[in-house]
Amino acid sequence: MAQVAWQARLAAFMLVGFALAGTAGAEPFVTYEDWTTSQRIRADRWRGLATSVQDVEKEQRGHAVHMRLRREGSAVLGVGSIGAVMELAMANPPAVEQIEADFKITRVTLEGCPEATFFQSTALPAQISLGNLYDETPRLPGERTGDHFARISTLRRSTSFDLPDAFQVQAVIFRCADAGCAGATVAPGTLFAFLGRVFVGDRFALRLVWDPANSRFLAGLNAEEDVELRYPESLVTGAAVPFAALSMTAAGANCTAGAGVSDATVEIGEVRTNVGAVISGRQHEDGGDDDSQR
Amino acid sequence: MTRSARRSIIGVLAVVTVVVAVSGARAQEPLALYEEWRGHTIRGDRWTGGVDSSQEFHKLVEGHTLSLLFRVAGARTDDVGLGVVSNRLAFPAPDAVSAVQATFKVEELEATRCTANPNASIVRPAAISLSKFNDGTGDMGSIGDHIGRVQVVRAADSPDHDGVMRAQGVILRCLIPSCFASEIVAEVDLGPARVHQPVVLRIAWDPANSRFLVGRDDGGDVPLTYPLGADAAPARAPFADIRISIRPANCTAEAVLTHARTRIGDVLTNASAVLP
Repeated sequence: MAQVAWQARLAAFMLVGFALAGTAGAEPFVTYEDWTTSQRIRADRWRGLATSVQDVEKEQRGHAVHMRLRREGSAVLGVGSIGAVMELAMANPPAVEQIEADFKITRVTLEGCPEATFFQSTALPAQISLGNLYDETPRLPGERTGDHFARISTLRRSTSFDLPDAFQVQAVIFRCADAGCAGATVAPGTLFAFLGRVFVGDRFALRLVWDPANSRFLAGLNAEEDVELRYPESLVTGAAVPFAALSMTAAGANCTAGAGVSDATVEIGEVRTNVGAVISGRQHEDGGDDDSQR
Repeated sequence: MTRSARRSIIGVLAVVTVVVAVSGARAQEPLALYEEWRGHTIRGDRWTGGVDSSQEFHKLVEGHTLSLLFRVAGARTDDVGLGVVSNRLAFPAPDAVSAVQATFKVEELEATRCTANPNASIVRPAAISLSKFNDGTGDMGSIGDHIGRVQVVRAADSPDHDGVMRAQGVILRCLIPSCFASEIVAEVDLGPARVHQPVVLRIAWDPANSRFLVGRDDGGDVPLTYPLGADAAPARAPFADIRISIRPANCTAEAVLTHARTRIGDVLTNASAVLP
């Protein structure tokens, strides 16, 4: 047992070292979840919903969480697309200042509109969202209008001319446009950042770090250097609903010749955060390994 | 009580049952096959639906059935209340749906207990709901909407043997805009159902007689009546769906864990709701 604990510590040390290599100036990442302390997704660490979906899955199997999100468009409307989202959300988002997670996109199917390629299906199967900012837009208690959050995503469209199975990695800061944040737009004064490309079957890490002292987020892919996402200094801490979540998004194109489809599956491995966000202790009812090391 | 008196009472009950069944006979359009899960995926023109915040869930076609899974932990905020969450398979055009029948097989059912909370968790691993009308008493959200539901249910403190659920029909009236709180307008017990054994549930709205008709398996329909005029207006939040619904008990000492997995077979609706 002692040897196992020593190996675990060494592995944790190596992971922290790997993470630091790509994250200038950030607090070290530590393990938030490695899916070894319970056979099921732990309720003290995770929650999250799914909206407007067809086939959907969020389940822990072994030492990973498997997620699937499939959304069809409409064959009646013929314009635009219908979106869906599924979240694996952290239980205490105000404590989360940085997130890094290991992903593997295991499958994707995208069918757009044969008759009008402008109406496209999209899949964003690996995403991290983080934010606790507000632009002080007047609103009623609980409303999210004016909340801001950063998101790093993997994106592929049905109209893509990219290599087969390739996903663009991008990061952006969003502003909630309505009370429920059903709609969000790119935040004023901020820019998209493109971080590279990943492929179906790749194992890769995405990360987001909030750096409030410098009014910015840092977004990173694998061990590559972080990219800066600046936001206006006028934003204040205190979103109506702080955001700290891994998620999938899908949109199926509305095509009269036959509904478009977005269908993807992803495997989520270890998730790392700042120390203050870690929820330690054992969830004993599921018979997982002891995590008293943490 | 003498044996002959007991026989008489049983006879009267049998007559009452037959009368109820006959009076509940459907004078509506016939049921027709809406879904038999012949594809590998869920058809977007026939189904949509979300899942409330929870730990694990799925909604997947497996063979010629749909597998619904829902696993959720209760809140640790207090030792009194219950949460309200569900995993839903919804009809995208609920206005067209006035009757639904589906075959269910509950394969897994679990709810741990919280000794400090007098209200036990409730798991409804199979339910069909129709929200069709509003009584006009509220002006916000779903207040005043009425929901007819047929379901199988088991509470964490059930005195029944393991694996035994109760089938029941119920009419609920929404008390708050979100309808997370409701009152019971009418309810009827439809007898026991068992985990791992198929059960057919059905519900039909019969507005001409101010009632829903509910039934199970080969038994006759049973009327669930609502007050005259309660269907004064269309529902503000109309829906028709099949769901796993769970009310996990809050528990400060340790989160209550609830879990259900249900297979759904053929789904029938009123013929005019069927999509080719």
